[in-house]
Amino acid sequence: MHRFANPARFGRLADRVSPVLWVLFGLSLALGLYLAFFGSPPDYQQGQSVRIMYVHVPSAMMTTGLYGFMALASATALIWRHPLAHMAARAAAPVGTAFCLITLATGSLWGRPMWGTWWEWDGRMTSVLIQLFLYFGYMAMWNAFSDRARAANAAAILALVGVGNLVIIRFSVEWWNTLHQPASILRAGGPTIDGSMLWPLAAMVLAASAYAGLMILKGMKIELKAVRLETLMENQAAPTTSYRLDLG
Amino acid sequence: MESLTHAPFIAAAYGIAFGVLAGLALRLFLKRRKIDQDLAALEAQQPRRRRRSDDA
Repeated sequence: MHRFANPARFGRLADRVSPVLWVLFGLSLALGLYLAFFGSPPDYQQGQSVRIMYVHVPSAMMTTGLYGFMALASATALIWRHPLAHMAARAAAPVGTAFCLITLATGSLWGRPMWGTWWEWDGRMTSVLIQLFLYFGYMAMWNAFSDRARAANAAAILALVGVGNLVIIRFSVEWWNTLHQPASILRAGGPTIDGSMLWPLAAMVLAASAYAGLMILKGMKIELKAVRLETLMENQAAPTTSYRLDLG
Repeated sequence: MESLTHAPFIAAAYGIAFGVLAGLALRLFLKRRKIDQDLAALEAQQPRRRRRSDDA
């Protein structure tokens, strides 16, 4: 794992992986959208509005998956002091936030015609809203300290504390009597939805994963450049300061 | 008839999703461009600064 701690080596790896992810993203998105709109039937109860599922469910999976990734990267940074782990976590945060916003918005748009309400304070919806606040909190923590190392550690601790909410999101539909339906894909007995709906969903999940991977890689490369910029600025400021001190 | 009543909800869901994801990609692109510009400006200053400090 520490092989990729070298920024130059990581940059080369990211440059090799990015085109593959772009192709994967383009193909799976095209296939997913085609199947979602033309290759899958309307639901026998929900009708055409079931097509919102193909954007809502992948976003929800990314929301929790990216938070898990962030927590794992944060733990790696705190325990093994891997230099790129904090950057990976930081790069994943805005991507997770975007997917969380999409999950809440599309869920609301799906709920209105199906449940007759835009929002309900039930276990699943409220815990996903808390997830959004955790993402905001994580990003705010990075900007709350002028010292990069302190900010990174504080944000990493918050990311780890927030893992508890992932468990609540997962089991909220079982612990409480919610308006939201129980799990129908990632469940012990296998998916309960028909194959004609499962394939477009799988293609859209793949597209969302490739997009998330791309954005994280790009975010990490930007973060590396930002660190280089800070170092250059500090180096530039240093001779001036010592020159003035010498004069004094 | 049912498909027509649900169409705005479906269109809004996909519109918001693609809008947010495109916005995120644009934000990263602008951030990278800004950092690249700042880096180029700083690196262009570096040799001049070194020469000036050598003279001093």
